[in-house]
Amino acid sequence: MHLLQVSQLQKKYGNHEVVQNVDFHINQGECVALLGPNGAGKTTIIKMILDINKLTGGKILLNGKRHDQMRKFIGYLPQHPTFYPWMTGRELLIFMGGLSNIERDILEERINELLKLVGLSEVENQLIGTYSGGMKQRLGIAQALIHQPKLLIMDEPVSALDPLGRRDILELLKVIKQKSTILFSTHILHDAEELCDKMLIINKGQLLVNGSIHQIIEQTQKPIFIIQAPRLSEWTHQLMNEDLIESIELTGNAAKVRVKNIEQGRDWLLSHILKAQLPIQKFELVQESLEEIFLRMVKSS
Amino acid sequence: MNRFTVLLQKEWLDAKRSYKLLWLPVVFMFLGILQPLSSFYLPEILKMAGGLPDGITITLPELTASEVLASALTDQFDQLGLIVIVMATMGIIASDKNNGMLAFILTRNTTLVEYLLSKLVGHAVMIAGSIFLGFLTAVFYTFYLYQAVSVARIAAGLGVYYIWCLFMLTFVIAIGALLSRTPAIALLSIFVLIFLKTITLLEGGFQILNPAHLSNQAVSIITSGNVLPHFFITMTVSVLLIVFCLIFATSYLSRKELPSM
Amino acid sequence: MHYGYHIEIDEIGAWLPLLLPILILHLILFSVALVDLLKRDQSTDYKWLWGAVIILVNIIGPILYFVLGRRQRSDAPTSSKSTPKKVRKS
Repeated sequence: MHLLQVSQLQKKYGNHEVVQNVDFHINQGECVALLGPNGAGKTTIIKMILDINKLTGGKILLNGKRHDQMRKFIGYLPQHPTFYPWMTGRELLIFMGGLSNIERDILEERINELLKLVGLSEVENQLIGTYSGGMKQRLGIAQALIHQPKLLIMDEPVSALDPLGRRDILELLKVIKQKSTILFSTHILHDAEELCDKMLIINKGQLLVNGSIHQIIEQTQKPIFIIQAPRLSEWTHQLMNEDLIESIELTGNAAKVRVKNIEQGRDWLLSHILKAQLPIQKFELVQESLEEIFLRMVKSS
Repeated sequence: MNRFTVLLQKEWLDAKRSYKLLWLPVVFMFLGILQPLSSFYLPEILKMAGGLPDGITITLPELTASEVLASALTDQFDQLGLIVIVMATMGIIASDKNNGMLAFILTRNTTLVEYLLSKLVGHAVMIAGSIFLGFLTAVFYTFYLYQAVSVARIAAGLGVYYIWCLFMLTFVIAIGALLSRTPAIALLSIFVLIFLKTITLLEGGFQILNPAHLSNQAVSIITSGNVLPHFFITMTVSVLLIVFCLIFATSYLSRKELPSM
Repeated sequence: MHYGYHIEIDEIGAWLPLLLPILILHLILFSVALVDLLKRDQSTDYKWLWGAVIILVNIIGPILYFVLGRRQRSDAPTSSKSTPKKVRKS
C-alpha cells in the first residue's frame, strides 16, 4: 500500500479548472518534489491533501484511509508561515504539540531535540515577531515535525529565502529526509534535483511527468544540435517552416535546434549549412539537461 | 492535556501579551466610578460651571443608591461599555481567519467547535471579570456616597446583565466569522447592539424577545428586587440566540474555504 | 446669590480619596502603554503620533493605543504576501 495515494484529483473554481485529473502516489521513505512554475496548482494540490481546500473530484488516501481523518499524521509547513508574533518559539511548539495531544514531559524533550535540530535553541525564548524569515521557516519545520508525522508536506520551503538561508534549509532538509517521507513543492528545479529522487512536474493544473529523476531524463531527454556561427538569425529564419525541425532557440550567435529524427535531421542540417555557405564555428549534438526538459515541457503544455 | 485546554491557554497568553487583560477591567472600573461620582457631584459641577441663570431652577431628581447603581449599567456599561466589549472582541476570529492561522490550526485535527469554544470561554471569563470589577467599584462609591444596597439584589442583577454581555460576545463572534474586515465587524456589531438597546426604550410586546431587554430586567432587579413580566421568556430567547450565533459561526466557517498562509 | 464657585480646602480633602483611584488607574494604563510603545520596533513618526495620543487623550488614549496601535503586530502576515486570495466555494 502506498503511504499517499492521489487519484483523479480535481479542483474547480466556477468553470476554472485549477487542478485537472492529477494522479500520483508516494511510498514510505520517499522524497518527492512537486515542481512547476508559479500558479501551476502546486499549492492547491497541497492544500487539498491537507483538507484546507475541498476537492471537487477525485480521491486522496493516506495509508489507504480517507485523508481528512488522517491529517494528524501529516506535518505541514505553509508557504508563508506567520504564526503568532506574540508567542516565543518555544511557546509555539508547546501550543502545536499540545494540539496534537502529546504528553507534556515527552513534548518538552522533543521540543529540545527539535530546537537543536533546526538551530533555534538560543532564540527559543524570543518572540516570533522578532524572527527573520529563515528563522520562521526553521520554526515552521520544527512545528511540522513535532508530532512525528508519517508524511511531511512543505509548500515552497526555500523560495522566499536569501541564498544563505536557502542553503541552510536545504542542508537541514537533507538531514530530515533520512528519517521522513517528504513531499515538497518548489518552482526551482535545482532544489528539487538536489533534494529528491522523485519528481512531479505540473503546469496549468496538469501532471506532465511523474517519476524518478533518472527515469525522466532517460525517457524524455531529447538530443539538441548546437550550431554556432555569425549572422545566424537570417539562416535560422529560413528553417522555421521546415517539417523536420521541432524548435529553434537563438541566443547570441548560437542556436539550439531540436529535430524530430536525429539521423535525418543531422544530414539535412549539414547539407543546408553547406548550401547556405554558413561559416560555422561549432556543430554539436548534445543531450538536454534536466532544466531544458523542464522548460520544454512547461512551454509545450 | 486536551486540545481545548491548550487553545484556552493560548487565549490567556494572548490576552496577557496584548494587555487586554489589563485594559478591559480598567475601563469598566472607570465606568463604574464615573456614574456614582458624577451623579453625586452633578449639582456642584453645575454650580462650578457658572451656575444657573436667574429665574431658572431645575430640580435634579434625588437619586437613591440603587438607582445610581442601575444607571451605571444603563448609562455607562450599555454605552461606552458596549463599545469597549465590541472593540476588545472584534478581531478575535477575523485576525486568525485572515492570516491563515485558523486554517493552519485546523490541520492539527482540531475542530472548529473546540476553537470557537476556546474563544468564547476565554473572552466570557475576561468580560465577566471586567464587569464584576467595574460594578464592584461602582458599588463601593455608591455605598460611600449614598448608602448600602442589598448585595443579593446587586449580584442577581449583575448575573442577568451578564447574559446580555454574553449575547454581545457571541454576536461579535458570529459577525467575525461572517466578515473579514475588523472595522466592518466593529461597526456592524455596534450598530446592531446599540439598535437593540435603543428599542428597549419603546413600549411593546416584542421587548420580551430582545436580549437587550435583560439590561432593563437587571435594573428592575437592582432597584425593586423584582423582575419585569416575561423574564424567563426573554432569558430563554437570549440563551437560544447565543447558541444560535455559535452554531451559525461554526457551520459558516466549516462550509467556507478559509484563507491560508 | 453669587456666580462662580470657590473650592475650599476641606472640600478638596473630601474629593481626594474619591479621585485617587481614578488617578491610579490612569497612571497604570498610561505607563504600561508608554513603556510598550517605546519598546516596540516602529518608526519614530509612529512613536510620536501614538505617544501624543497616549499622553494627550486621557484614559481613552492608552486604550486606543492598545486596541488600534498594536494591531499590525498580530494581524498582518509578516511575509510579503499580505492579502490571502479570497476563494469561494462554488
